[in-house]
Amino acid sequence: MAKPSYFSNIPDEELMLELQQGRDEAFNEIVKRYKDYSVRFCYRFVRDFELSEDISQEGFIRLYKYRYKYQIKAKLVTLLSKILMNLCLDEFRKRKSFSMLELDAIPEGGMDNLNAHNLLGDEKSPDPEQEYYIKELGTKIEQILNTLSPRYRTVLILRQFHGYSYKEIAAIMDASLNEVKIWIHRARNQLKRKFKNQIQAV
Amino acid sequence: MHKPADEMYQLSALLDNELNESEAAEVRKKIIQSEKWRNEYQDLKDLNDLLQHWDRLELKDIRASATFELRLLERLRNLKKHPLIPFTILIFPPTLCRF
Repeated sequence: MAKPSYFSNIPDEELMLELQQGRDEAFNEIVKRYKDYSVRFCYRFVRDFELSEDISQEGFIRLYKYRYKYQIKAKLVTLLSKILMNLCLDEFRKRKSFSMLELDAIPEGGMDNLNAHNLLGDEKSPDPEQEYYIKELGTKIEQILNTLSPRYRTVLILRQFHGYSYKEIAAIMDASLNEVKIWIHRARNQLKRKFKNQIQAV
Repeated sequence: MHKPADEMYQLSALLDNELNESEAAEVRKKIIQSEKWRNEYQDLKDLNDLLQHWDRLELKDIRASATFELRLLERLRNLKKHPLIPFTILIFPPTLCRF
């Protein structure tokens, strides 16, 4: 079994300081710790695995390039998330036309077909039929998410999928706590409204 | 300025456990007293549950591939091999300087 390196036991922020002092092994440790996190982070924005890997690699490269600008008062994971979020938003800007896509119809029954509480309650044996249904519905959610403004989409992804607190989101997005509160609610409302419109249209 | 739809923004904050005790009690009171607030809260909760479940299914197998670190290392090596060419070299390439 591989022996744990000196770097495997030191906190994130100290790793950045080691990196600033020219110890590249510290960077390897950062990548080891955050590669899955960053791929998942990007995937939640772009929903494309290969693209997520590309963007997260670019994120690590930027972290490495700008290592001397890092200040210990910032959490490494916040900095990395900020870099990744900006790269994902750039990607959205590149494929702006996505938001102009017409939404497909939502599966018959919409949200009423789901008993979300039951679904969440039984993790070990998900009902394949319901799983399929959620995936189908997920495609529609993804399309609707793409119609939200980048700001609303971002707050929703950070809160809803990553589980960041409002304070952390404010730090990542350089916004005030109040702004984040309002944005999250507006984003949810828009998503809900568009979702309901789709159901009614079916 | 808040829009009328923002009146209920505290429902989202309640759902996310982002209110202090007294704020949360105030919002809960409104949920009990008003059908509009109750329905809105239930809608938000359903949406929340659905999104979380969908995300969990989607992310189940998402992790960095086995070659992720190797490829990143390669990209970094290339970056070090070909750093940005200084401006002066672009203007006066060594081949031209011989003349």
